[in-house]
Amino acid sequence: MSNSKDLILVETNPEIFIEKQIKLIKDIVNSRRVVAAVSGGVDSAVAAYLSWLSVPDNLDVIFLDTGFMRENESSEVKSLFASMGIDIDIVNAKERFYEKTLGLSDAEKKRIAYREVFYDVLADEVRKRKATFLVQGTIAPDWIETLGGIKTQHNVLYQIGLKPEERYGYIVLEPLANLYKSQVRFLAKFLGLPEKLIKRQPFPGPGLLIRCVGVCDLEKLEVTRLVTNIVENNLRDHGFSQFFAVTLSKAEEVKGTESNHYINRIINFNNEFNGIKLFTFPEKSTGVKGDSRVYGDIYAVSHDNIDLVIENRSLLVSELMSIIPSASRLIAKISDGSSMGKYSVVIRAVITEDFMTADVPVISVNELIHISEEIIKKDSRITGIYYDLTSKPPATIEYE
Amino acid sequence: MLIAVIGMSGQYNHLILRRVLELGSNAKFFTSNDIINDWFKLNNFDGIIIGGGPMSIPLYDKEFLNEFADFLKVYQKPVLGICLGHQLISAALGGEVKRAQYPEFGLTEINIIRNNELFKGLPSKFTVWESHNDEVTRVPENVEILASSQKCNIEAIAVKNTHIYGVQFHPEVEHTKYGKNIIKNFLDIVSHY
Repeated sequence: MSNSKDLILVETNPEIFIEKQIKLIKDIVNSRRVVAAVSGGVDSAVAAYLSWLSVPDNLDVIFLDTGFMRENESSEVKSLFASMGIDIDIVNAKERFYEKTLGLSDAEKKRIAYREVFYDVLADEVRKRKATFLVQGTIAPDWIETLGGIKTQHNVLYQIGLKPEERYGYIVLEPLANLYKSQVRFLAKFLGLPEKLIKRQPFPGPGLLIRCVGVCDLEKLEVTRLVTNIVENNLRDHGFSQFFAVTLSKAEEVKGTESNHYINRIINFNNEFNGIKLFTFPEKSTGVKGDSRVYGDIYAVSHDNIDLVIENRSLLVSELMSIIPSASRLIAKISDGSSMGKYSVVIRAVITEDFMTADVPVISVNELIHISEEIIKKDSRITGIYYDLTSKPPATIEYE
Repeated sequence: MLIAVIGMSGQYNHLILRRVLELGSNAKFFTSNDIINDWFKLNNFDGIIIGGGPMSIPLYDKEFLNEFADFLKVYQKPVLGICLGHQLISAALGGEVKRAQYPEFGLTEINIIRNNELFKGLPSKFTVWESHNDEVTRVPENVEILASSQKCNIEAIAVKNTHIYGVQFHPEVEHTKYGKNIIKNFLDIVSHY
């Protein structure tokens, strides 16, 4: 639906890009019915809005409540679309998602199971509404990462040879498939969509499922939802491109040759690092190194001088990757929670426009400690709080 | 001006296309499957940019590298290799590519050690974004090293008396400080060729 020229057309002549897409959608859809699936994010909202401009009378806009949403997400999305003049149907599919995804530990298995339920639920909705088309907000990084084998994005089908017509009985339309996030935001602005929507930080399709790193169950999900809320509220005004929390199990100190080698090298670089310790977790996380997927171990460093650790994040990550090639990520310990707790919480923040590469911002230790205290006070199941030091690459922005 | 962008199944190949179009040139995108055994179909393009990818040079068969070397000799026009593309140029022309002892990912500072039109107008030291497990460990005979980093000696190369260049880092990504300038410099080289 979209060719490589659209890559710049959208910024140089947005009105022509919009006209072209509207004409395409009208021509393809004709008098048949369309379902647009929205997540509340800017990509699917713009895709749905373009469909609404094209075939308003043939369109149903739906939002799947997968059970992996953040606090109050469904009602916020509903009122966001209402402010654009679009009424959306909320489809409660929690139980169907929980049944197939809770208990799985491997990141790709979780993502693929999620995708299967996602399209099965949509197939039912499309059938119920006698629609022929499904509009979704797939953008360039989605198919690039899926095609490159980095991670399975739930909204990528054709690009990996899956045929939704045969499998689910509908044709998928992706009006934004060649664009990057910053261009979609530009388009949203041009279309006059609400500022709140344009500025909304990306939230992955599988939602909190992939932020409960490793096995997700209802308790871990509840903890993840709680800490996500605290981290988002605290970091909202920093201008970060994405900021959230993930939950892991309890850390264990690593001892052995590799670990000693790493620690010695770090101290060699700067003897202020004396006393630094290395930890790891039972869960793995996804990374991207030299265009290949890695699903590797998560490490944590702890040191009294957290400022020093955050300041030298690039050195600490780069040495870890050289000495322990199975590592996918390095996080820094901020503070201890309850000694009886069983979950670790990681605060993740990144700066990026197109989400293809990402840098880690410096957050002051005072602020990180303030957030940690709030988390610990709210939930005694948490045993430690960390800050993620890893850029993309070698890590991805999300953990799974 | 028409540029051929060769994707090698890398994460940032599509961004190269985006940058070239943003800088006002026309471009056509090829995958490595489109051009394997048939580099000569690129003969009519004014310049070529070869992107990165997950492949490791030692896994390519000799014939593939030889065909590419033959093409480079005939093509004569400007070529820029990025990451795997840079390693491909080096290997095809007789250099050596191996697993890096210190792979680089993300932020890296590079030093320009030899002036070249590819880095025209840029400071002698700046930060770039990297993502490589392999590296060029020895350059071919007629190749100059243009830049290095603390962990990688060969961050950028130019083949003497030609307009063939290679960079180990990724000028096409937003976090490489002067990335767009480097691609613009290359497009200027193409337009003046």
